[in-house]
Amino acid sequence: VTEDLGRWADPPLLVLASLAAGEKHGYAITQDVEQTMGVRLSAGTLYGVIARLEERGYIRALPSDDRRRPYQITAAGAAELREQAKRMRSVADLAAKRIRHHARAATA
Amino acid sequence: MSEHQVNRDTRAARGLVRLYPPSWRDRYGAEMLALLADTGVSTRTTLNVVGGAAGAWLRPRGHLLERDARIRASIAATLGAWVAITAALLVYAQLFADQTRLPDTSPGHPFTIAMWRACQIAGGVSVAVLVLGGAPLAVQLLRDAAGRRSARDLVLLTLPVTASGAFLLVLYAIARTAGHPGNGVAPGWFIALCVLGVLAGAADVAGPMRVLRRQAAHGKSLRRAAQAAAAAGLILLIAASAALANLIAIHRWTTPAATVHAPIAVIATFGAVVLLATAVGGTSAIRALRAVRTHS
Repeated sequence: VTEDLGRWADPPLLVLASLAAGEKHGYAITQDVEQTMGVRLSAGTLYGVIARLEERGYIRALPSDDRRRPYQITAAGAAELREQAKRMRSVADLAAKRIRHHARAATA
Repeated sequence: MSEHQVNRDTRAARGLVRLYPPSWRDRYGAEMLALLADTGVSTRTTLNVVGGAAGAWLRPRGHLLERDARIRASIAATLGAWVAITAALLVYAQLFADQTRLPDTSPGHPFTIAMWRACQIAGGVSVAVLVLGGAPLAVQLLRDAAGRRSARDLVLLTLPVTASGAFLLVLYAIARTAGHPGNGVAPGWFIALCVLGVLAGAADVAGPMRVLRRQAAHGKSLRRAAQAAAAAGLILLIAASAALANLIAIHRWTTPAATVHAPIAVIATFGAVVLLATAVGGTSAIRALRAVRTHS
């Protein structure tokens, strides 16, 4: 179902949500997003998103000896995720309310 | 997974990462290779990475490269594309200009004349825009090189004049010794001159661009040169489109008895050069203009 939502499953939000649970490198992010949110992020999409989030200061790369560099969400990233989650929740609440209203109207 | 498949995936992953801009590869290349080693390279992944690379070229990330450095690199690529299209147009002009004066292209004759004129005008305007827009930057670079007493940079910066001049001298000498009045030179000489012309064109671009990449040129002259390169490239594309239309017209309308023909292979080669140069030059021009816009 999540795949069908398209715009709602915006890759930047999925990556931020994944990193909100703790620092991860690229492969761990793709695994986490696929297992918990049901969306498979390919390499091109993932690193496009990582570059964009890093540019905006929403995530930061942590030092690593390995070429698999871990990323961490920043305070600005957490604030952005909180704001987006709030907006999505209000839209979801509105949608649920209207669906209930629609169902009642259909059965009446 | 077999060793053969691992090796194949590794090669494919390296090839895919090479599609990204150098600054992007420096920052994320190793990580992406590690990810591709973990996930494998499927058709879906390949398409996704190709799309990601196109996006990275078109929308460079501000934290990856200093803006002036990006403008300098983009000017170099745009100019390279401009020279490639110009070279294709010069060969076209040499091979097909006479066709517009021949009556055997009828009924397409007026069209070929109009396209030829459009090509000449757009080509001339493009050169003028490039020279006028690039002059302040050229003066800045020459002054800087003279101030540093860098003979190497002065030689590289004057290559457009010396390399083109040397080519014209060779052209004149060959035309005098091997040319036949009214028929030009033999095909072998013509091909040799084309190769020499391409080398001279490459030197014209490579010299100044090498200096531009090493010298930290910046400021208004750099931004103006980027805008001029983008505008000149766009105008030259009009010239190339007119030339391509002309080639197609000659191919369609020329009578079998005509002295000049435009075979499909010539049209395809010309079109491929223009398309490739447009893709490279267009992307670079967009990158440069975006960087210029974020400056102002």
